Amino acid sequence: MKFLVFVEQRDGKIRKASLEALSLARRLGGGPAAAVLPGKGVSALAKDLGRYGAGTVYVADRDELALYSTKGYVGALAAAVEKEKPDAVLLAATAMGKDVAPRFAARRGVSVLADLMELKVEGGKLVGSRPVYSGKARAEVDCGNAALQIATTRPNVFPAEAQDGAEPKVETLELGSIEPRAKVLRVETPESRELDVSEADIIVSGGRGIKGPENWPVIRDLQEALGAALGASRAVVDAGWIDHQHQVGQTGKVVSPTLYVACGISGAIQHLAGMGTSKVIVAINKDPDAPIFKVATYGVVGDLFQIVPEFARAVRAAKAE
Amino acid sequence: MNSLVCIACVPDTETRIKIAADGKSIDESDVKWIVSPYDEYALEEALRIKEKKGAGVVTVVGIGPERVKTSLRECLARGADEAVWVDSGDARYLDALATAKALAAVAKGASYDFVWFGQKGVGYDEAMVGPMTAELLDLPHVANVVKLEVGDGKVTADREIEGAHEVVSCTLPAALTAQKGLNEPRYASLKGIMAAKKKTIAERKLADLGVPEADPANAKVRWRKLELPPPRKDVKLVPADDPAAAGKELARLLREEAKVI
Amino acid sequence: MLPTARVILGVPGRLVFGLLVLFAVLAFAYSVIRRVRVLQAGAPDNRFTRIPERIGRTLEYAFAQRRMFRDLYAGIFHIFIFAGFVVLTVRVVSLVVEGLVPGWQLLPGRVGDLYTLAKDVFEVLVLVGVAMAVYRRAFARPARLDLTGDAWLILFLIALLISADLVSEGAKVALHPELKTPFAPAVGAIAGLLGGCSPATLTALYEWGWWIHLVDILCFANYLPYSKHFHILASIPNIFFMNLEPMGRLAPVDIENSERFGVSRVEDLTWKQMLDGYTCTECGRCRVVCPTVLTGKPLDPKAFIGEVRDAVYAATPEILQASAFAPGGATADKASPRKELIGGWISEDTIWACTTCGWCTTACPVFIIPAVDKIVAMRRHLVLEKTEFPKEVQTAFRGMETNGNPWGMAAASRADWAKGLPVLTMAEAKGQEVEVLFWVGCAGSYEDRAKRVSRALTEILHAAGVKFAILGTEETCTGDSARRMGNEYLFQTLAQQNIETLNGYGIKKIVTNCPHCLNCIKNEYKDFGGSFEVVHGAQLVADLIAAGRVRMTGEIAETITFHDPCYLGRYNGVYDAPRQILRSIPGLELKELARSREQGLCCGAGGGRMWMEEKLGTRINQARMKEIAEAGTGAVGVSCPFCMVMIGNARDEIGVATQPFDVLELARRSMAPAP
Repeated sequence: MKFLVFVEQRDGKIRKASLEALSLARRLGGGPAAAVLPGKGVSALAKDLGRYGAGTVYVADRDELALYSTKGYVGALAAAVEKEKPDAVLLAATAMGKDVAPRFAARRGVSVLADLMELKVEGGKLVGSRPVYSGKARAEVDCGNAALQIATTRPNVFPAEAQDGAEPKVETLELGSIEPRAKVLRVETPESRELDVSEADIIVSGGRGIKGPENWPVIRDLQEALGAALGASRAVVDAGWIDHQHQVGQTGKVVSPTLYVACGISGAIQHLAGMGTSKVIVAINKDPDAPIFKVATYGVVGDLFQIVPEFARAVRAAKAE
Repeated sequence: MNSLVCIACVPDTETRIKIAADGKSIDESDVKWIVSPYDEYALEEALRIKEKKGAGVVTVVGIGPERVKTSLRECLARGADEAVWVDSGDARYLDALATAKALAAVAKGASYDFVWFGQKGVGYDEAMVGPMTAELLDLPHVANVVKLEVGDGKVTADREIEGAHEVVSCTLPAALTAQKGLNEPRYASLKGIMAAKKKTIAERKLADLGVPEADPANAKVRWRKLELPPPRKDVKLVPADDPAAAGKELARLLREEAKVI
Repeated sequence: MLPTARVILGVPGRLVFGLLVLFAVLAFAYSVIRRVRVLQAGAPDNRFTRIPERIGRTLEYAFAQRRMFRDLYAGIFHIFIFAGFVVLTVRVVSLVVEGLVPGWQLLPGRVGDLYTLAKDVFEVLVLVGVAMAVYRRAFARPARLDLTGDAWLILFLIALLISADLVSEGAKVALHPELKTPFAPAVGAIAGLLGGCSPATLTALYEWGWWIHLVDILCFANYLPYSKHFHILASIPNIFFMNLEPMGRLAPVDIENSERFGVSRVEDLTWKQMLDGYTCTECGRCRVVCPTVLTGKPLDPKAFIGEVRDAVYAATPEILQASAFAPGGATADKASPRKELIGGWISEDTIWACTTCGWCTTACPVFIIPAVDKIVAMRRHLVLEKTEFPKEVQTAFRGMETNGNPWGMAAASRADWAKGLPVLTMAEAKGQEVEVLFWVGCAGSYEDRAKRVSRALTEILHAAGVKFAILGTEETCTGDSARRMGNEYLFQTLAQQNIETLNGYGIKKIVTNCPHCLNCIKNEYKDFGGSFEVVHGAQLVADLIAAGRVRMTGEIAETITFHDPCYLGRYNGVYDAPRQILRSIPGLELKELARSREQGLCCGAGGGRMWMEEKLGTRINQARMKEIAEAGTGAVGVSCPFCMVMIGNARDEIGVATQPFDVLELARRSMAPAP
């Protein structure tokens, strides 16, 4: 089966999620896949894709593509597909991937297997597994009678495997004039803006068990390790240990992150009402009867001052692999 | 300024999902249906734009069975002016392309400055319908909007991407998908609720809109199977006697078992 | 000779007097009529019901002034002054007539003599009363009183008019000793004191005293409609028209047929609510156990009702003008320069601060409802019309709308607490006899501690052989919180659903562990077609213990107080049942808190405040917990899931030893095991 992988780059670096998709394409296709790499000044990056599974890289290196535009990037993908004529197109389900895939799919009169956590090939057809209903169920999906199969893969699920191999063939794509109606003017990276609890995918929260505001660094250590937002129970906000914008609960913010780590939080109903639909809940509390353990996925009945620093250390180590 | 707001009627996030007998869909018996939360941000923004400009019509449209009308009435109660229900008839599942085609057919019926969507519907969680419909209508789109400024013939939108914001300038008419943080959706006033009860919801039939993908044989995404993850077991307790080991085990579980880091 | 026989500034005294009286009467009528016409512009409220009962209550509370005596000192001096005024009204009439028609006597003969005695005694009692009042204001200075100029002026005017009359009469008797009568000992004593004065002095004292007395009264009467002393006129009708429904029943709204919801302008108040404003005597008893006053919130019931009154007064000219052009009702919607009722006179913070604990309603001696009904009415406007309310309230509303509980937990899991327990739902119990329905409530279904109390009740009921069932997932939130937060529409939707379910099963008797559910179903569902006999779990269990159907044998060696839940105690009069249970448990030593029973301090969760952030002042739950801790017991008993959460939280927040227990948890622990 022939794959074409859309490769995303930012600030001169290929995004790891694209490398994951590329490796997956090589695995499923039984050999190197094609890749398309739009951007500005990206030609030099093309050869790095070889180790991760690219046999051919279609490069669209244009000034107009310095910043993302649907028109530009979808156009590049369309041009590559036109040349390569793959059976399937893979993208990482990043913000960009989720923008490019559906537009391209609609153009081609097909749909997308979105945000896959598993993918295999059966008889020339992609069969994927994806979370639905806020992760409460998994659907096994395929593309029906679609002439072109398009899928996006969830980042951090598939491994990005670097192997020794030949450098890929690099082809330049000819694109016409690119005049997008929606243009990115600039990218704003917040300097020290705290990631807001309601936007975060991972939250680490501290409760009364942290004993005092002087101990926030213990929690923040884990927060940074996980790249999370910082949450708090009502008790510590009331005690004045942290600002109200961090409060998670019935009268604070109602959140539904992928991972919620509750440190020293008992899990009274007012708190649960604010985070009970989190996909994975980790509870660290020295009271074995704390209600939080009834809803947690993983728990440690222990002293958070001992457990949390070790947990943070282990997370950093795992991420560095 | 006229807006078309496309809403999805989805199970409430607290609902316990059960698999139906056919093994491919959910058992709808105990399900509480709500307007997908992201669609609420879209509706709210459309209402605010209309109020700021002092003129314009906000139309909401939803596709599905009869229960969609309840969701449409909730939107009318909040201040939407008109509602369109596309009766999906026997079709139980529509893939994103079929949905987008149906919505595009409805949108072509009038001229809209904005076509709004939630960034994703919390049912299928695909985040596809918005950009697809934009493509079918040949409209520029901005997805994941967390801030919007409406100018003359164009908008400036803050779009949320990983760890940053893209500031996008987009010409009108445009399609936009709303992300959490764009605004605070209003609560429907009682007057709104009472008035909504009396409004007529326009009805269209999916079968009339020319969407071949609505036929399961033609679907471009098929659900072969629907499964529940293994039941939320009792908490898996990691022994705490060796904190270093506990930390490592937690990290391992999160990475390998739960796959969240 | 009569004082009015003189010629004053060339005009016959009688004429001067007659004109004065006429002018005063007309002015007084004008003021009072204006006040009454404003009432006519208020929203309707039919209080011409159950007249015999109203008459009885008026005698009990307006004339015998029963509530006044809760503060014995004040009750005594006030009844002196009140009774004195009633008795002296006759005197005033007779003096006025005497001033106009010489030689005329109102009460001749024996009756007149008895009256003279009464008058004499009461004039002295009034002075004693005034002295007691002055002492209280000047020296004792209880916090509930505001030392206003209005109050001092009134006391002065009363003292003056009584003194003037006594001196005048005394001088008259000194001038004409034949008028001395044993029926007027005080006057006689004064006459004796004045004996040494010259006739000219005595005449002057007599005449000046007479004029001052009557002019004081004419001025006093005309001052009334502009002072807190309007209560002299307003309190008797206000008591007569008091709310005869249970305190816990809020007036429903006809949603289908109303144009406006709640109170946003003065004209939206009912005439009775306006009359409440007129009647406030500014005694401040409503403040004494008010949780918001005690913790520095902007809501002070005395100030609140005063602001309502001031708003009515300020709107009076406009209302009267409007009704002149549109007789029968003011419908002024046009923009007016009038200060807004909500946001102007009364801040939104004030409106949201109320916990509806009911203290102020039970404390008021003239049966004003200082706050609760008006606050809920204002909240109705804010929620139903303006959709302006604290952000976190929307979470609770959505929870109730979508999943039938304010926490938003899955409706389908409502009966999960009973999994594995021998508890049947009504659907499962089809065909079997069910004596009582256990209404579990949202807390009892979803909140950790309350679930244990639910379980405890079921175990006690089983042991006693009571046949009960639950509604399971057919139960949804009673809507109490929604109603108290002003969302009448959501409340009625939930109520109608529950009533349909309950009536569908033919339920007659209900037991519940939540006082809010109890109050709502018992007192408020009636208005929507649901009449049920509802008892609290503690009442049922106390009865079972008394009947010997369940025995408390296990010892619990502990000292314990009891925190009365507002909605069980003040609202529904149940104080004894939980105490009976505690007393029947061996080893348990029950102490009373300083503020208990009718004076129990609220935990802070009522009025929907459970679902709101407490950002102003200090914490109500902590204030109550401090009192509880001061009693020095190891435990405190509660009978409400909200109190349990609030007291439990407070315990952790301030770190005291006293532990809260639900009374039924203790009963279960002590219960004799099945043989």
